[in-house]
Amino acid sequence: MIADAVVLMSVYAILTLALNLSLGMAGLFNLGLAGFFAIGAYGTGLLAIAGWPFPAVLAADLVLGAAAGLLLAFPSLRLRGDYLAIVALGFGQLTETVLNSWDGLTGGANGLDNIPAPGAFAHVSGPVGAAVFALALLAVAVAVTEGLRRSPYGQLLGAVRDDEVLVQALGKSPHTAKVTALMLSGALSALGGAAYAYAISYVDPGLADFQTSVYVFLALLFGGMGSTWGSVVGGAGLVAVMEALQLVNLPTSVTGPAQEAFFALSLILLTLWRPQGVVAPAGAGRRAGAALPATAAEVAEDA
Amino acid sequence: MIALQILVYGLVTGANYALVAVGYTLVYGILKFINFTHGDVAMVGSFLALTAIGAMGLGLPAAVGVAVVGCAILGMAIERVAYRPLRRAGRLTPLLTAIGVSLLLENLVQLVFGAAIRTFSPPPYLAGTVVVAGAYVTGVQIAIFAATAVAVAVLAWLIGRTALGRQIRATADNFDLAVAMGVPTDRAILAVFALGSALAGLAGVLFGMETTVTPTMGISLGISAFAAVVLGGIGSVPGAVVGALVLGVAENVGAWFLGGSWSDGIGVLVLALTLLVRPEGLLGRRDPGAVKL
Repeated sequence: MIADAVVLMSVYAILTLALNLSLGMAGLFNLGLAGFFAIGAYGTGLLAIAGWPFPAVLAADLVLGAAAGLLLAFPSLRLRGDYLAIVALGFGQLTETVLNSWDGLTGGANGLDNIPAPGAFAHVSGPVGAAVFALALLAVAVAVTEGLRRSPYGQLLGAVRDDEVLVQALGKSPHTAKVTALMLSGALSALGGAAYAYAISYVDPGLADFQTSVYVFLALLFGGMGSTWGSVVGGAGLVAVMEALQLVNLPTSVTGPAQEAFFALSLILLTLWRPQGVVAPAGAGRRAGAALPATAAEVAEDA
Repeated sequence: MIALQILVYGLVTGANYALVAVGYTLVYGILKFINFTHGDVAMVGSFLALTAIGAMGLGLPAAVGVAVVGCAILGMAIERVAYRPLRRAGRLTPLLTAIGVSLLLENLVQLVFGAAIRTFSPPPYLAGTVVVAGAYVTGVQIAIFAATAVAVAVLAWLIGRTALGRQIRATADNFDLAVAMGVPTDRAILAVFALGSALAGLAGVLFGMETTVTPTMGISLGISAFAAVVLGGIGSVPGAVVGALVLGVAENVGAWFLGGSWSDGIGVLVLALTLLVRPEGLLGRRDPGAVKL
């Protein structure tokens, strides 16, 4: 029970870190996060079942996630930010459609079962092994995103988020920065998918559901945009609340929608009243309601 | 005559999308904001009409009235509570409340009505079928065409010929100038949400009569309608109608060749292709979504 919760906490923490990279650091509204997650989970499942060794599966999975990010970047990143949001949402829905309909590859609505555990962690068997494995991948994700955040590249992403025109005036390409940010975010989401598929050993098309993306947005907002440890606490805290809600004794036809409605309401209220986040509030100097500042280009356009 | 039959189904789907698409394009025109909750408002319209027919025992016309009025109120409430407080907070922040409202509506409806797939049974006077040049057209489909045509005509008159329409156009054209000239911009924005949501409510009922109704139908309906908006040229009402009809036909042709489960994906592909090839859409004048770089 606790080991299962640790697996889910690690997975959601990785996904929140992935969203933090695109939305928190670069201001890219990646509403297709669940699609990347599902692609990573299915990629892991299919390759592991085909007998690929763990390092090869992981490498292929990261490439797959980055490629999906590139695919999403093509039609959407030359346009204004909200176009990315709806194309990304469509991308997530399309992923679910493909996973549901391409029976020959994905097993359709039944999903993939009996995904073998990675060899390196086989000596720690059972749920504890799965939890240790998921935590190890989370540690990798934390190290990578924190490293990126402190790097010149992380500074560039922040500048692109805050003032794209200025970035261009300084001779840097905002477009390249945004495309790579979406690719990195895609690869990290796929890493979350790998953690899920290996640790749970079962995947189904529901992983690509819109609701998963909304949950991760809530976790990021709660943690505070731009903060690595805020993202980890936000993702893990979300799962803790989910597990706590499981303890309430209600029929499943009620608990499912009630939980989703509760999280949806939390997202609305947080955005209205505490957009800077709770765990690690973003930019203390910013005015309320400006967790996602309007870019200078938008301000100029609105004027 | 299978080609003609697919065309009929495509145009029916398109007429439905048109009613939802017009609401997107109006809100985008005035706020430059993609209203993510719009598909879910149409879904709520379906369930309001189901309740009016099932629990309240009303006829179809009265049920349509309940859905239209109910959705107009819902749309205004969403604008007032979830969007207006964030109007100066940057363009992406209201998207957060929007996806929250979207998921909230889906699950509240599911809590009240359950997750089961529901259907409308058409009233006797719409149960017949006529044959046009070898293609079958049902009474429900004729009603959908007629209702869409009337609704779009009324909307065009409201926007183009009335004082309220002038206020809406002034606000959409230049928000700050409209404020300075004393145009009641808040009321114009609220009116746009009411109009768009009322049409979405109508679409929800018509859509429900032609296909099935579930609490999660809003997202795919919303994406398809938005794809239609972009295809036609965002911000343009005629563009939304043309884009919707073209997309409706494209989805039905695609579903015929690939199988029905793929038809949702066609809207996404059309959206992506339009943004790649012609982001201003078929009838758009210049690309309004492009970042000036």
